[in-house]
Amino acid sequence: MDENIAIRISGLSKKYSISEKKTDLSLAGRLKETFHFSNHKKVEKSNDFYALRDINLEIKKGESVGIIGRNGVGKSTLLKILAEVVEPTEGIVEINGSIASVLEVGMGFHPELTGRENVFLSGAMMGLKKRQIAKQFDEIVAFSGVEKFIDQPVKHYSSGMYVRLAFAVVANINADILLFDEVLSVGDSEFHMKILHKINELKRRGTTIVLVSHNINDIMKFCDNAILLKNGAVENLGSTGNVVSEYYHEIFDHNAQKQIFKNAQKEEKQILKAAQSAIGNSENDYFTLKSFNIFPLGKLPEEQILSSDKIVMELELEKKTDLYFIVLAFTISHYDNIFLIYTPLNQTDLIKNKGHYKIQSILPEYFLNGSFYTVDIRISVAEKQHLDNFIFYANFNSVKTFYIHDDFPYKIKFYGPVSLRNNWVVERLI
Amino acid sequence: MPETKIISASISSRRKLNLKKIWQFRSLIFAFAARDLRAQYAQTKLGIVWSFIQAITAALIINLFFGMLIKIQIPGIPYMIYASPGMMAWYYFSFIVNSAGTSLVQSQHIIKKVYFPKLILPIYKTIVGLAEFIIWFVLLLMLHIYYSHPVSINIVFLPLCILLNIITGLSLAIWLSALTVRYRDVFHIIPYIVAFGIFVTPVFYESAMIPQQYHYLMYFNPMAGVIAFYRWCILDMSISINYLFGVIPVIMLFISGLYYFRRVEGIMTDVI
Repeated sequence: MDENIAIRISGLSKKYSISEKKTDLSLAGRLKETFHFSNHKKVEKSNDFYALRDINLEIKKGESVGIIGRNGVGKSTLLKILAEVVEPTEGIVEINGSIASVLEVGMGFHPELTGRENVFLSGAMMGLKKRQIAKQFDEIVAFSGVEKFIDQPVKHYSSGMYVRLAFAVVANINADILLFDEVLSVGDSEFHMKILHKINELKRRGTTIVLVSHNINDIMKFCDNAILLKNGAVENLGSTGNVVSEYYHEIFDHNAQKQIFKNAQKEEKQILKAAQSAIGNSENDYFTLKSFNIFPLGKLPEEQILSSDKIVMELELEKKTDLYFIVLAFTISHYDNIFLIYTPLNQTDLIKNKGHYKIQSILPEYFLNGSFYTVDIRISVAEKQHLDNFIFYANFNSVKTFYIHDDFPYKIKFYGPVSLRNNWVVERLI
Repeated sequence: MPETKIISASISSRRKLNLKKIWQFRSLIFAFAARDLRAQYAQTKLGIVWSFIQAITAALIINLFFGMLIKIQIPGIPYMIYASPGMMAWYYFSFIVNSAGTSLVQSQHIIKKVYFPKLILPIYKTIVGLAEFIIWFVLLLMLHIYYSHPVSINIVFLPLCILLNIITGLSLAIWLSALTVRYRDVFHIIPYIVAFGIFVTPVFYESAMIPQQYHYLMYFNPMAGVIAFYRWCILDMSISINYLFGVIPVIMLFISGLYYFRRVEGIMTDVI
C-alpha cells in the first residue's frame, strides 16, 4: 500500500437484515422459526437494508476529513467500521498506522472509579499499555483541567469535568489516526477553544483525523476535506467548502426538508399570531405585530432570494401608545443555531407616536451566503429613552425562516454564512 | 512503520481464532478486573472484609447442615477441613460461570462503542473471581490452623489446580456468554446450571457416597475431578485416575466454544 495513504476503503458495504433485528431473540422465537411455526421469515428476508453501499475512498496521511450527510445515511456506521466496532458485510478497509476512536465521550468511564483510574482504564480500552498512558498522564490531566479532583470518583464530577477528562485522554494518546463521532462540541466555550488548538496541533504533527458531525461549523473548522454521504453511498467528496455548499443545497432540495420548511412557514404564521396577542396570550397594550416579510429588493415577494440580492426584512406593526421603543431589532441566526447578526433600529424616536408603521431593514448584497437563516424580532418599550427603564420587552423567536441561493459569479466555496465586502488596503512595499 | 491493518468481513477469517489479539490486549484484562474490584468495594466501610464475612457465613451454614445435622462423617478429617477445598473450588467455578457467562450482555454498551477482542470479557472475570478465591484460601488455611490439621506438601500443585478450575469454568462460560448474545434465555438458565451442579458434584459429600454404578457419570463431571485434585493437593486424599475422563468434555467444550464465540463475535454489535 502507498505509504502516503492512511486509510483505504474499497468496495465497502454494510448490510443489516431487518429480520435479524426484529427476530424474537428468545429461544422460543428461534424454535418457532426453526420449525416453521412462524411465516415471517421469508417476508423479512427481503427487507435487507444497506447502511453503506460500495464505498471507495482514500484518506491521505495527515489529512483531516469530515463526514457529513443527513440522519441515517450511514456516517456513524462508516466510522464504526473504521473503528472495528462493526464488521463490514463486503469490502476491505486497509489502515496504515495506529488508530484511536471516540464514538462517545467518556466511553467506558466507570462512575465509581477515580479520574486517575478512569484515565488508565480508558487508555487500556484503546489498546494502550500502562506505561504508555503513564507517560502521557500529566499532559492528559493538565489538558483536562481537573487536577484537583483527579483522585475523586468521577461520579462526583460535574458533567463538564467529566467530558473534559474523557476528551483529554483521546487527544493526548498520540495515535496516527483519530476518529471522532460528534464529540468535538463538548464542554464550555473555553474548552472548545482548547480542543480547537489541540486539533490544530495534532494536524501539524501529521495526525490523520476523521470526524463525523452534524455541526457544520466543526466540519468547517477542523477539516480540510469533506465527504458527503447520501443513502449509504458517497455523493460528493472534495474540499470542505464545496461539499458543505452542496450539502446545504441537498437539504433544501430534499422533499422532506421542503415540508419542514413549509411547516416552518406555517409555524411562522402562528408565531406571528401569538406575537400579535403578545406573551401569555394576553393582549399587550403597547403594540401589535401585523406582518413580517423577507423578500429580495426590487423583486416580487415570492421570488427566491439570491445572494446577489439586497434583502428586505419588512415589519408592519400597530403602535398603541406614545411610549418609546428603546429597542427594535432583528436578529439573524444560521441554520445551525449560530447567532449571527444583530441589526437594531438606530433612530427609535422615529416611531414614538402611536399609529401604523412599516419598518424595513435592508441587508446588502453578497452579505449572507447561500444557506438557511431564521430571524427573531426583539422589542422593548420604555417611558424614557433610557435602557434601564423599560416596562415591557418581547422576543419573538424564529418569526421567519428563509433560504438564500448562491449565485456568486464564480463557483465559490462555502466559507461560513457571512461574507463582508469591506475595504482592503494593498501596498507594494518593494 | 507499523504494518497495515486490514478490516474485512470475518466470514473468511472466522476459522482463525485470532488469539494473538488477546495477548496484545492483555493489559485491558487487568484494567477491567481492577475496575470491577474497585467498584465492588467502593464506598463500603469494611471493603474486602465483606467478602470474608460472606465466605465465613457460607462455611458456617454448610458446616451446620452437612456436618452437624446430616452428620456426614469423613474418617480422620474434621468435616470443615474436608468440605472447604470443594467449596473454594465450586464457588470459584460458579463465579466464573455466572459472571463470565453474562459478561458480554452486561458490557454491551462498551462493545458497541469500542473495539477489543470480546473474549477478553469472559477472561477478565476469572481474575475478578480470583480475589474471592484467595479469601476462601486464607479462610481454609485458618481452618487448618484452628483444627491443627497439616496441609499436604502437594500444595505446590495448587496453581495447576487453579488453572484447571479456570479452564473448566471458562469452557462453559465462553459458550454461555456467546449464546446469551443471541438467546437471552440462556441468561435465565445459568443460575439453574450452577444451583443444580453443586448437588451432582461431590462438594459437600464424599464421592464414595455416590452409588458405584453411577461413578462413571461422576468421572465425566469435570468439576468432580477438579475438586478431587484440590483434595489431593491440600489434604493428600487419594484421587482416581478415572477423573481424567473429565478432561474430555472440558476440551470439547473449550475448543468448540472458542470457535462458536468467534463466529458470534463478528455480528455481536449488530444483534446484541
